[in-house]
Amino acid sequence: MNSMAVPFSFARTSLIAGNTFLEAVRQRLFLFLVLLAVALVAGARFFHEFDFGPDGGVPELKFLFDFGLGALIFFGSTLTITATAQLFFSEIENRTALTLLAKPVWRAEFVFGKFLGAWAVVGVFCALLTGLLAVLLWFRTGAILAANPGAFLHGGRIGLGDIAIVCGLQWLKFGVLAMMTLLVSSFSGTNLFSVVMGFFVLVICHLQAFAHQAYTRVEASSVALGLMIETLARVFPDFQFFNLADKVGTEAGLDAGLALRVAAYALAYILVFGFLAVFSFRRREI
Amino acid sequence: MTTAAEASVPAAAPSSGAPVAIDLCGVTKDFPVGLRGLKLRAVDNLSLAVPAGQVFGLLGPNGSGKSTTIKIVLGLLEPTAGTCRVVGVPSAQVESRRNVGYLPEAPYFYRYLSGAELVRFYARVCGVPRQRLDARVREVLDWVGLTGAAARRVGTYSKGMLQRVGLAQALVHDPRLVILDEPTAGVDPAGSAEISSMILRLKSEGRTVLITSHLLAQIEDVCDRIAILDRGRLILEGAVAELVGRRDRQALIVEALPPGELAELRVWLAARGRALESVEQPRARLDEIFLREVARAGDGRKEAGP
Amino acid sequence: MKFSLTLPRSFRTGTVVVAVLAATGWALRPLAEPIREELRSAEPAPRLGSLSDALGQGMNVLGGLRAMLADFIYLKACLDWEDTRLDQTIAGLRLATAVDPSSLYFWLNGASMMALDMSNWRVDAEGGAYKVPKARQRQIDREQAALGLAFLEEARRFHPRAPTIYEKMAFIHHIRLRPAAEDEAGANAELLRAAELYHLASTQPGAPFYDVRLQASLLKEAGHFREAYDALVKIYPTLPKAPDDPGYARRPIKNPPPSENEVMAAQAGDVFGRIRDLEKQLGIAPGQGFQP
Repeated sequence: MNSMAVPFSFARTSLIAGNTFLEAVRQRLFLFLVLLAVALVAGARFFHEFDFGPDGGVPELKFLFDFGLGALIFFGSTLTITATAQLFFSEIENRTALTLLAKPVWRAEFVFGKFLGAWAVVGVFCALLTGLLAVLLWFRTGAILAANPGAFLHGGRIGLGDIAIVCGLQWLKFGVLAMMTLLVSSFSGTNLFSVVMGFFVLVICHLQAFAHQAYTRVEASSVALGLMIETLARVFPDFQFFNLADKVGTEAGLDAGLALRVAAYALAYILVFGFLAVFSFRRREI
Repeated sequence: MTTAAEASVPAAAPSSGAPVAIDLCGVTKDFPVGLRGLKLRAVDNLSLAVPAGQVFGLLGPNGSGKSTTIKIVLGLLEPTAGTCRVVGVPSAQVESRRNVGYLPEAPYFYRYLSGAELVRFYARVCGVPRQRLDARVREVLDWVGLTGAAARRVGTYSKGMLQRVGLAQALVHDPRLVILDEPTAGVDPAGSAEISSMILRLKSEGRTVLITSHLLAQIEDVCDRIAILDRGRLILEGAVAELVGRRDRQALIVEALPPGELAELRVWLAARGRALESVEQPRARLDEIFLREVARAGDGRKEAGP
Repeated sequence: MKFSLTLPRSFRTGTVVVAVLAATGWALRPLAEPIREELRSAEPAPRLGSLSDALGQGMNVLGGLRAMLADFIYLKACLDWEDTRLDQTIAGLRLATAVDPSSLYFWLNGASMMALDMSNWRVDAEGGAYKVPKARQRQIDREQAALGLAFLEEARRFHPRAPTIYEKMAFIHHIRLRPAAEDEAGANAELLRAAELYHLASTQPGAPFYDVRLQASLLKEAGHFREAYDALVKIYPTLPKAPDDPGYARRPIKNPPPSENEVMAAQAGDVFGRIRDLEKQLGIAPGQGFQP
C-alpha cells in the first residue's frame, strides 16, 4: 500500500463528464426539449407564408432568426437549469456519488465533471438548433435573393458567422447558468430547490442592468450607501452582455471584439462559480 | 476483549507490531438537526483499530453509527472531533482511498451501462492502466462470477447480481482494504453463502476486509474480529473466537443412546466429579438445509436435462 | 445520541460565497464596464415618465426572448392592419417597438401604415373619397402623416444613423404632405423639406447612392436648379460605374462591394445626363461645365 499523492486529474474529470453526458442524453427531457425546439424552429417557416410587403426578405429573415434564437434561449435555459440540477441530484439521491467519491476522486473533479457533462449536453442542444437555424436561414436567403436580387441592399442579411457568434455566446451564458445551478445544488437539499433557485438567479442576472443604474443614482446622494449597493449589484453577473443579437443583420453588424470580451467575462464567471461550488461541496455530507 | 468503559480511550493495534489498516481515534460525529443549531450525535468518541489482513465485523442495531463510521473512513464525512487514518493516511485526503474498495449498502449503479462498462468506468476512475484495463475488467467479473452477464445492462440485474457487480467495481483496482456495507442485505441464502465465500477468498489473498452485517451468524463464520456499536458508542470489541467460545464447556455429538446407556454415562461422569448438564438433539441450520436442497434440485435438473 | 448547540457552517460558507462574488464583480470591472458602456451607448437613455421606455427597460428581463415577443406583437398588429382596425394597429405597433426598439423594420413599416394606409381607412370610414370633401381628406392626410413622422422621430432616438428613417420621412413629406398642402407655397415647402431629408439620409453611413439623385430631383422640381446641380456634381465621382469599381468609397469598408443591381440603381450614366440637363437650364456654356 502506498500513499502517493493523487493530483487533480483532467482524465478523471472528463470520465465523470462523459458519464454525465451519457446519462443526460438518455433522459427523456433532453429528447423532448430537442424535438420541441426543432419543431418550433422548423415551424418558424410559416413566416414564409406571411406577407411582409415589398421589402419582405429582410423582416422574414429577422423573424426566422428571432424565433430560432428565442427557442434556443427559452429551451436552452430550461434545459440548463433542470438538467444540471437533475444530473447532480441523481448522483446524490441514487447514491452513485457514494460509490464514486469513495474512489480516489477529488470533489473538484466531481463538480467540474458534472458541469462539463451538463454543459456538453446544452452544447449539443445549442449546436443542433444553431445548425438547423443556419440551414433554414441559408435556404430562405437563397430563395429571397432568387426572387429579388436587391432584397438585402441595405443590410438585413444574416451571416452564418453572426449566427454562430450569437448562439455561441448563449452557450457561454448557459455555462455560467449551469455553474450557478451547481453552486446552489452543492448546498441545496432538494432538486426542486435548485431548479427554483436556478430560475430565480437567471432572472436576477437579467436584471443586473437595473441594479447598476440604481447604484449610480444612489452614489450621488450617499457614497457609503452607493458603495454598498454597488457591491450587491456586483455579486451576480450581468446576462444582458450576452444579448448581442440586436446587432445581427444591421449595418453596424456584430463586433467580434465585443463578443470575445463577453466570452472572457463568461469564462471568468464559470471558473469563479466553479471554485465556489467546489468550496461549498467539499464538506458536503454524502 | 474491550469493554465499553475501555473503549473511551484510543485503541492501540490488537497485537503490538501488527500493521493497522484503519485507525479511528476518538472519533465523534454530530449532524445538525433543524434550523436552531441542534445537533444529533451519531458517533461518540469512537476509537478502533482494524488490523491488516483480517476480516473485521462492525455490528450494531440500526442507527448505531456503523454506516456513519464507514463514511468517515471513506472520507465521505468529516468527523466533528477525532482522527481517522487509513493505512496511515488521514481519511480526509484523497490519497487514503487509493487502496480502498467500497461496496455500499443496497448499491445502485448507472443503470444504462452494462456490467462490463460499469466496472471499466470505475477502473478508469481508479487509474487502472489502459493496457491492463480489458484484462482486469474480465478478470474481476470472472472472480465475482458475472462473466456471462457482463454485456447485460445493470438495470436488468437481480439484487444478488448487483452485489456482485458492486464487489467487482470495489476490487477492480486491486485494493488492499475492502469495505463491505451490509453486503448480504436482501440477498437470498445462496447468494449470501457465495458472498461469504468471496470474503474468505479476499482474506486468503491477504486483503483487509471491513464488513457490516445484520446476519450475525455470517459474521461469526467469516470474521476474525468484531466490534459492536450502540448509539454511536463502542460497547464491545474483540476476536470472534474469544467472544463466542466457552473454554470451560464441551459438546460431544454421539449416536442416539438408549435411556439405560445414558444413565450409565451419568454415573460414569459423576464418578469423575463431572456432570452432564443437558442432552439435546442437534439441529441443522435452516440456511444449510436450504443450500443442500437447492443444490440437490439443481443436480436433479442437470440429470433430467438433455 | 446527544444534542448540543453550535452555529451552522452554512452561514460561514454563504458569507464566503457572497464575499468572493462581490470581489469578483469588483475585479472584473475593467472587463465589464466597457462592455456595459458599449451596450448602453447603443441605446438612448430612457426618458423620465415614459411608459414605453419603462416597458422597454423592463423587457430586459426576457433577455433574448424579447425580440421574439415583439415579433408576435408585431404580427398581431399586422393582422389588425389587414382588418383595418386603426386603434388596435397603432397600439400594437407602439407596443412592439416599445418591447424591442432595435427592429428598424417595425418603425419603417409602422410609419408607412400610420401615414399612408390609415388616412385611406379614415376617409373610407367617413364615406369614401368621392363623398368626403377634399379639404377634409387633406386634413386627415396631414394628421396621419404627422402621426407617422412622430413615430419616425421616435425611431431616430434608437437608430440615429439609419438612412432609411430619413428616406421614409422624405417619402411622407413628398408623397403625402405635398399633395395635402393648403397652397402652392406649402407644397413647395414640403418638397424642399423632403429634399433636405434625402440629403440627410445621404450623409448617413451606408446610405444608398440614389439618395442624392432623389434630393436633386426634388430640388429641381422645386426650382432650385443650382443646388440640384451642385449635389449631382458632388455625388457623381463617387458613384460606381461597374460592380468592381475601385473608386467606390462611400460605403463602410466592412460592407461588400456593390452588386450589379446596386450599380444599376446608382445609374451613373443617368446622373451624368441630368448634370448636363441642369447645365443647360443654368445657362452654363458647353465645355465650361462639369468634367468627369
